[in-house]
Amino acid sequence: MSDTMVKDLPEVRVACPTTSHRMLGEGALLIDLRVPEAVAKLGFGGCDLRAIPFAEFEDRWTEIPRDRALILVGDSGTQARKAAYFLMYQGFETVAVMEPGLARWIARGFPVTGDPAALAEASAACCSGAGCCCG
Amino acid sequence: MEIKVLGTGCAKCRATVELIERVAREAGREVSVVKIEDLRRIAGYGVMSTPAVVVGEKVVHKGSVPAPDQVLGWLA
Repeated sequence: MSDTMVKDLPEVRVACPTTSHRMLGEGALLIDLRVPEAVAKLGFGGCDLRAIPFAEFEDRWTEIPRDRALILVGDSGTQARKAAYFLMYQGFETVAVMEPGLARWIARGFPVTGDPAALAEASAACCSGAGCCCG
Repeated sequence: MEIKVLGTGCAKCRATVELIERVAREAGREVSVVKIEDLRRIAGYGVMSTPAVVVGEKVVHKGSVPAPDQVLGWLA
């Protein structure tokens, strides 16, 4: 492998759904890292959005425009932070992660695509057993 | 020598640490394995797929548990 440039990255900015909604209204782009099935069932609405599943992110991050403020959101805060730091390493300057994610977005009454009931179904399916990944 | 393992504490990251320590022990090589679990520091190496291995501040492997032969090569 080639030589590695080690960078001391700053802490990523964390934006709540309300702040994210405002930033999106001001021209930011939302990057949804959730799996396609989840995005199809229930997604963020009323904003400019690009869906890039987290599993494909390392191969597809070049699709993301460098001249836009970015807000990343995933199945977990860890996913969004990993992707955000990766973009910061690549030189993207205005990057934030949305925390909490879709559930709080819906609770705030912001627009969605699909059926909000899907969120409850997904939560129930995910958190019904021991060793849940959501902790 | 020092080898860094970048990872957020997942099973594959722990397996990578254990593998490097075992291979080094069996090869009679003294090695210090340093775990880096902070996302910001991991990303500072340009790494997204973990576990990753850094030797001499150079990322030599990422995205999986390395093979024992690879580890031997790093210890050479």
